[in-house]
Amino acid sequence: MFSFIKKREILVLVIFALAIILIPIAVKNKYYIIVMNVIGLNTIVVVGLNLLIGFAGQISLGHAAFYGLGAYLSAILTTTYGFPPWPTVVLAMIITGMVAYFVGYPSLKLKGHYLVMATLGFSIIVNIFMVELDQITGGPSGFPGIPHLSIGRLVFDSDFKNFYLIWTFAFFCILASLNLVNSRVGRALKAIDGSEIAANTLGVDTDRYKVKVFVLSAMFASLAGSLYAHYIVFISPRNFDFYYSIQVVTMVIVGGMGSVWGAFFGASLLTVLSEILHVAEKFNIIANGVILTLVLIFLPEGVAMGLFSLYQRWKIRSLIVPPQKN
Amino acid sequence: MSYSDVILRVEKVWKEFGGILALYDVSLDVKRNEITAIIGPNGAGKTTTLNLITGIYPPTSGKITFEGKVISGLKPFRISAQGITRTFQNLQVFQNMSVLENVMVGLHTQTQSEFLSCLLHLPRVKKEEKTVKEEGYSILRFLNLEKKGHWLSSGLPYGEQKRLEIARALAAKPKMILLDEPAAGLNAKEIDEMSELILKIKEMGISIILVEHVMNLVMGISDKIMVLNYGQKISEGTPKEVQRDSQVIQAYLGKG
Repeated sequence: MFSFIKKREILVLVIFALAIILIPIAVKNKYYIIVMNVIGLNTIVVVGLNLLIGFAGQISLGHAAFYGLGAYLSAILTTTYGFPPWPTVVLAMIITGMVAYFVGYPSLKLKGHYLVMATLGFSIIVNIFMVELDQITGGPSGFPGIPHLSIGRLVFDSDFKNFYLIWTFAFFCILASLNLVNSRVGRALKAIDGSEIAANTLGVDTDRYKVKVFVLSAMFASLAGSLYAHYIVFISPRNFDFYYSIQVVTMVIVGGMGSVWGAFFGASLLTVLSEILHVAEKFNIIANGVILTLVLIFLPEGVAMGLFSLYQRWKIRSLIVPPQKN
Repeated sequence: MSYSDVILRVEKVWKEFGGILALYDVSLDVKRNEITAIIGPNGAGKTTTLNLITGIYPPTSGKITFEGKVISGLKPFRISAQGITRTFQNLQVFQNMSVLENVMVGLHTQTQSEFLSCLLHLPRVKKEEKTVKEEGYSILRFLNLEKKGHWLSSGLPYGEQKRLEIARALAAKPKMILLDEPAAGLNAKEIDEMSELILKIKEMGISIILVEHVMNLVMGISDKIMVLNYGQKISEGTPKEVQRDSQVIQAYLGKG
């Protein structure tokens, strides 16, 4: 049974990798590539957030702040202080992880939804800093002139080159998440969601695991933020406001809590949707709210799994032959 | 009785919840490799006693020692590492996981892989996964659940969910297991099977504390019984001694 799932998962990963390689060759429209790059960045954030929400059952409304921390740390350290870009991406992840630890440690020790409140407050504070510390961050008008990432002489300065860069990272984030989910740690996280008390009496240090997965998900967001900053080469506080936090939580729920591929699916679906609704930005927020509500009421397992089980129910029903009278 | 015969010692334990005394100066010695039952009317403090032993909350005063080491005040996961696991009166099966995965969580303390090695799926993790899976299946086989290993645990019938909780607790290789009403809601045949199972666990060299209302079961297999009423110990002894105790009869049947 398990080996079967594993084999199928590997097959899906191979198809996914092939799609990443082939898409830029097949798709020549630059706009589509840009949208897919945004999907890739969101996928990294959402895959990490899904580990927290879908597996450990803890909710964060502050992932825009961690995404923003990654972006601003990379931008400021490389542009203002001349740090080398690649090590700075790692450094930003470590710093963001430490910040997440200090936010998560006290609030996760308390029972109940204190993490939601703490992360909500934290993300607002971070956004205020981005706006007000204009000497360092550029303030509301943003931070320009960030260098592109490069490997040797290859500079990731076009949308197509960044496609490969972003999706390589997205691929490895998905792979790492799949590894984690099918492991001792992944089971312990699911157990926390299933019954925290039972998990604890079986030897799982539930407080520590919750903090650790929160830190891990913040580091995923930081990585995406750094990639974003080096790709667009301009960032502003508006990219990292509270609305983005809501959006990534919505992606997790729409994609299906507790499914790594669901996270990718949710990120794709909602990124495309918000692109379509871009003309009327106000409707965007309303649409997100309506989708979130509808999914939670009618498809609580997420859109993909929900539609799949609806299909299965339909298939079973069509197999039942009505009783015949002799 | 020498000291080493006693595996768990509860000494003058009190527990207060917002001004209400749930346990009142309770002491209990649990002997190694025996079945010790705790009985009493509803609200007598039986589950509270188990919660104190497993560290769900600390006692207001008093001391609990396990193999000579003080465990009262420790967090549940630390106490379980000492070798005490339990089942729950209201089932706490991980409904979101498969039957096998439930048991694999029980093996958590037997394994080491942490976040980084799991993310990278190091060869060490691979090896550990394999042994954990085999171990998990062998425990499921012991409890006659191996055919349903890949089932989502919420799909199991009630009686099997109860067995799964025991499987999960046994997976942690405990020295002592606490069973909170394992026979509640079971039919006569299932109760017989449960009492056989508990005896088998005893044969494995595991000490047992049993909280139960089904008297046939308790009287049939217990080595020692403690009777609680309104948070106080009112009697203690062998099944025969307890059955004859006038205070116990009064607590259960009222004054004659």
